[in-house]
Amino acid sequence: MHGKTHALAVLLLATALGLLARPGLAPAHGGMKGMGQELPPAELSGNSIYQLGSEWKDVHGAPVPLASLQGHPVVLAMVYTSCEHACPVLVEDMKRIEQTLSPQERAEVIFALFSIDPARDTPAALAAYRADKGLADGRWHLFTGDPDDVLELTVVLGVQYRPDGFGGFSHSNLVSLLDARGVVRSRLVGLHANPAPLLAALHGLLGG
Amino acid sequence: MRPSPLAGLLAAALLLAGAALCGPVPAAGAAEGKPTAPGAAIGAGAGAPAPRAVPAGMAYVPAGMYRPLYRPSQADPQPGQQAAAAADEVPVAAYFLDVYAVTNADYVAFLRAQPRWQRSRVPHLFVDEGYLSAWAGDLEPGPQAPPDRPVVRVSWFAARAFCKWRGRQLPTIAQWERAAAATETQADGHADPAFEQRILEWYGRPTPPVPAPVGSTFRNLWGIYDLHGLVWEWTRDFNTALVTGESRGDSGVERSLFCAAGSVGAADPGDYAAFMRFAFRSSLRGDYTASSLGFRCALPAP
Repeated sequence: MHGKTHALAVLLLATALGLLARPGLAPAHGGMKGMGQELPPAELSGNSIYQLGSEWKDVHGAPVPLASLQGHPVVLAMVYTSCEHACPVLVEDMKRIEQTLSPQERAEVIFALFSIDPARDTPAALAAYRADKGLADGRWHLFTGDPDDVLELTVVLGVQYRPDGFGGFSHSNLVSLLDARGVVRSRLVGLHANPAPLLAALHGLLGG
Repeated sequence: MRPSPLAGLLAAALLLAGAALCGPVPAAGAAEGKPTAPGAAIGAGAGAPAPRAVPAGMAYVPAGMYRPLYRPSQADPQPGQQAAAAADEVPVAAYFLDVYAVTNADYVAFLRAQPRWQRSRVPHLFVDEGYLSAWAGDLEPGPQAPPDRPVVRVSWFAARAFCKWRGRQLPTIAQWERAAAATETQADGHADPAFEQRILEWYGRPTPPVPAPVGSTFRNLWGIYDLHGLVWEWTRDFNTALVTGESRGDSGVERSLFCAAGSVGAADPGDYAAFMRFAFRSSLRGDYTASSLGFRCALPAP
């Protein structure tokens, strides 16, 4: 706990100094992109979700500051792996977005899933889920974290959720697109939503 | 559009209209059986004496039960699981709650300690443009926000940061509702029509430009003031409501997709005041601020 608080303090300080806006500082783990890319502007937008100082765990259990995703467009959703109905559809919707991209475009985009069920979604459970769904390593990042950070991220993204009393969750079905600075640029609302607006925004971010 | 009690009332009216238009509403308590309560064991048993050390400015609320307005959805159980009746009531472990809503004076102290939350510095991710807009300056509440009045026009993020700074947290809906169910003399005022009527009358009054001082309404059984009659208050899990117009069509809850969704699942369709609070919470977003929306903090009891 103390260590985490300390790490957060360092992260906040680093964020304040604009250091984290440089993707080169992203921790070397699991093939996170960000190395050798051009530097985004150092100043963090006031609307950036990277204003959140939260830190997450990836499928290897390695700590990942949320802010280390910056520098790339991010397509993300909040799901839980034991979800039988809506979540797989959301992930399929995201995979369809992935499939419409050219290989060069794909290399620029991060696909991220954040668990709303951190009690059961351990890094190992997330790793199994990623394998089961055939989500490409290096491009798809699955995260679990502290329940309070989960709550905070749901509020930032506008995701509503609550335990359904049967071991699952009721939750909004949202896919969000973040630009390289972490500002939400497009959202798909509902299952099987028409991805055209989000794809248009994504192509815009990728330079046409 | 900024939410307001009016928006909440409208939403509540829609929910109630749904109840009226869309057929019979199951009787409260229709779910039979004695299901096991969801969640974990609770700490102190009901009726346990208050611990000796109650934190400054807080009151002790013993462990008890909270009857959610909405039971967990039974529309879409996980495969392999029985659509067992969900619990009518959920346990609430003993906790402390601030005696008063956080005041402008309290909030100035927070802003001095955590300048990041000052009006001119706070990131827009966390507050809309109304944040502390009645204040004269970053650290000067001014004539529209006297020191003894509840701080309003604060977002969920800001309220949460304040409570963290105090070593506390925002109350959950269950904690807030359990405390707010108490009248001056009873732990549960739901059966008291006069109490319900008093709350509804407050909901029907327009929001004054400057809220009254904290402590100006009544002191409840637990020694807590102003849970009704002063300002609306943030809860930690406000975004668990799932019945807003906005969530229709984007929700995993089939129940929220059709007519009367707002009332069919309700535990007590007669509890109009609870409907209104529920609707108001549903209309909120984390960065929203409103001239009638403040907060207080809670802490689990040892």
